[in-house]
Amino acid sequence: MAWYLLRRLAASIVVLFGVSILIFGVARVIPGDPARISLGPMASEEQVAQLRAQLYLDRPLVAQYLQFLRGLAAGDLGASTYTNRPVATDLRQFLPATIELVAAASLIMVCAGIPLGVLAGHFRDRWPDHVGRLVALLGVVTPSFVWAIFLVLVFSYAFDLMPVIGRLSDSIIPPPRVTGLLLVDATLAGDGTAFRDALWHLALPAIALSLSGTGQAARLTRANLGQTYGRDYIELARAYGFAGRSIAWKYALRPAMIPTLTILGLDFASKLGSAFLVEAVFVWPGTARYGVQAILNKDLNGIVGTVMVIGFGFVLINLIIDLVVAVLDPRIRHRAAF
Amino acid sequence: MITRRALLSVGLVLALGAAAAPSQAQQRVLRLDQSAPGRLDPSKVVDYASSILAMNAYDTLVNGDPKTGVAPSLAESWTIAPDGKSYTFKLRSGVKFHDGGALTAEDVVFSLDRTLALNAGYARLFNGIKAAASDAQTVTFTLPAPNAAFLATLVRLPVIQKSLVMKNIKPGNYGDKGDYGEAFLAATDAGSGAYRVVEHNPQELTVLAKVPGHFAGHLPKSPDMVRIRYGVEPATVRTLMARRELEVTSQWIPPEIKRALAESEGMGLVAELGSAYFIMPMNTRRPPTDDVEFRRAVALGIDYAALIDLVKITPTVAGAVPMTGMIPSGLLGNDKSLPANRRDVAAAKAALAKSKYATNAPPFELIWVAEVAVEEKIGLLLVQNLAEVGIKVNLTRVPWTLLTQQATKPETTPNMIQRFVGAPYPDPDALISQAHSRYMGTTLKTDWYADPEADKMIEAALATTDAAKRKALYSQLQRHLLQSVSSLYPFESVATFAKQNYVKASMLDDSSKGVAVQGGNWIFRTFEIDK
Repeated sequence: MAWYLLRRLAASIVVLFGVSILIFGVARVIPGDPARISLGPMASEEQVAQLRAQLYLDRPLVAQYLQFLRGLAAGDLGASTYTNRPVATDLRQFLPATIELVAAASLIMVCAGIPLGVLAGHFRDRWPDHVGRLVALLGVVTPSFVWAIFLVLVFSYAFDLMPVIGRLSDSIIPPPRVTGLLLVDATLAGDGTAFRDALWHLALPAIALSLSGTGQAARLTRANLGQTYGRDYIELARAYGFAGRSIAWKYALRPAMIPTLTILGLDFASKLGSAFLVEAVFVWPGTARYGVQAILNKDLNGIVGTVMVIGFGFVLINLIIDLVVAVLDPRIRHRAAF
Repeated sequence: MITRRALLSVGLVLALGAAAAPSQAQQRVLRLDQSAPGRLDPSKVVDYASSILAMNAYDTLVNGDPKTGVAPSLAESWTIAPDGKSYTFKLRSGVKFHDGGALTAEDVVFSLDRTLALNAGYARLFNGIKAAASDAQTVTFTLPAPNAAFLATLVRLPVIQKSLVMKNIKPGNYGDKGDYGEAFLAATDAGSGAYRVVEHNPQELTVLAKVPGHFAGHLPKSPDMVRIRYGVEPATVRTLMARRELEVTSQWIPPEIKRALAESEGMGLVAELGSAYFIMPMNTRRPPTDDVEFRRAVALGIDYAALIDLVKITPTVAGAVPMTGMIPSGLLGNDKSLPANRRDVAAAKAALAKSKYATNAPPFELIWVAEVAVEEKIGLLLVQNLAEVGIKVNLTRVPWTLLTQQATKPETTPNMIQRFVGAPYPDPDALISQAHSRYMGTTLKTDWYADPEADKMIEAALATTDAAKRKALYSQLQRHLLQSVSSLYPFESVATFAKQNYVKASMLDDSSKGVAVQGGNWIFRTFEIDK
């Protein structure tokens, strides 16, 4: 198992290295002069040249990349020409917001999607299955930003039940920052008011972001359960008179979960980058929104920093999923040991 | 694994009352939205949002004034040397920075030095200028040449607290000055303005708190706190305004949403006029707009009335007003006697017939900037108008980043672009200088029209300190430039904002009190909230 883990870690490092080279090159292909864009149209040629020199853009590409690696080794991702702050500062401020949002969305995906899939799979071709499939399909085909706007219009505009934007109400003093995750920081500070307010603000964006993944999880779980239910040992369990609920949760779900977990894990990682539209509608100050603005403003350091963070998230989550799957499926553990 | 203890902790926290959080309900809070990002460093201001921040967190030697152009602020008075190359300012005494430190002439010198060293924002306005403090309250600026716009440009030199910045410098590119406080000033302010920064997230929110006792004073019901949100989607702005969770919108929301808000109970629109216009430069080095008769045909073929109608917000609130010449109405040099824009299809066809592209003209590329939705509508109108003249237009959507690249060469610059231009300081040179050939290769001058005579006239007008003579020179300059038809000036643009009726903003509500400076009418100490 340790050898399996080491091999996965080594592969991850190679992947991250490759991602850095790719995004470093691709960012520089985007049209526009980042110095000119940052300084505005009234900047003189001399100002633009000075900023280009500060950004090392007057050097060959390889030299620029080596400079980037040197900075990365020192924890310095360079300065953002979009916010005029160090990229590391920006990511430290924005990443927790996205992690909190994506984590909440993933929790909803797991807690709602999998039971929905189990229900649909267990009552296959009966009305709970049809309803479940319809709900799941609606979640999958509708883009998350459409859900976001819909939820705002219904719950915030029409019924005035939920807050519209941001992570906290204007009247609430934020808890002292420890992790940047408001729910965690509020818990650590014992601030129930801030916790409730943060949870209330998180609800709509998390639901909007989760719906497509919930639908996907439900459909996958249903499909995998369908396959599992056709197995001999399930037939045997039925013959022995085991309760339906017991068969579903104890015997059928575990093997059916493996592909679902893999997809959910990848979905979680991809949402770190794709949450942009939901973040835009709710003015959620996250990394995804920052990354898109970095692209639109050709903020080279911002682009590379954001992609590296998302890439690292992908790699880490993949690693965790691989470990979880190895725990769930002993065959994988034993195969890896040899 | 979730333990019982963890669940209990969360439950306890949820059950806790509201005792921990003190209410801010008694304060007057002004909430706005603006385009992202919000940049705090006053030496790096380039856009509307960062202009608003700088003008409230910092003070300048002079402020814009609707009648006189500039009025005293930190400087009580000033004298100008007879040769126009030296300005000596007497500073107001007793002015304090937000941390209580006294503002002195050394801080003014430091601010100029820092602006020039960082060479960002509006640094180019101060190239070659030196400042020296002769005592704590006296500072002298020495210019390389007379500059009639110098006093006006000082609205773009916020005074920064030297001691606070130097206490917080980090390693950087500026020798013993380190990073010159770049990291520090990106996160907080070192100013003396009527408001100070208490919280800042450039992608989400900046919170400013009133500074009591500011020398310029606050109106009685001025906001105690200002919250500026960045990058709020238009649909969200509409919802927030309806819920009274936003007091004033930015100008960037679509006209349809402004219209809807204007028709909502308890809301209205306010406008900024006199400092901005809409320009349509034509690339004079690329066929077919390299032919003056072709350009004249385009100029005569556009329906300017329909264009102005297109950007109207409501029947009573215009998004544009007709423009004569190249200088908007709020600035010296505006000349109503210049020929007005007019549509004459017959004359347009005649001009086209005289051009070398009377038959078989190459494609005419008109672009609209992807980030400015209204430009697509304007472009579609032009396609229709010019089709009547016999000119086929290819309308293309281009992201701003691509346009900045295209504008660097005449062969890649589109035949015609559309651009909204605002005056960064209250002087006509802020706008008309963009016709100078030194701006070729940037998005400021995409007509690629080199006119040494016009360059000399621009420089001469800038060096002329007599207002009447300057006005005459600008009239002459405009007549000269308009003959080339290298750019069209269809209208003065009116920036409009939706506002809750319980908010009074004297410089926005009453255009006679407004100043011709981008962001210059958003002085929060002149706002009042009367709920």
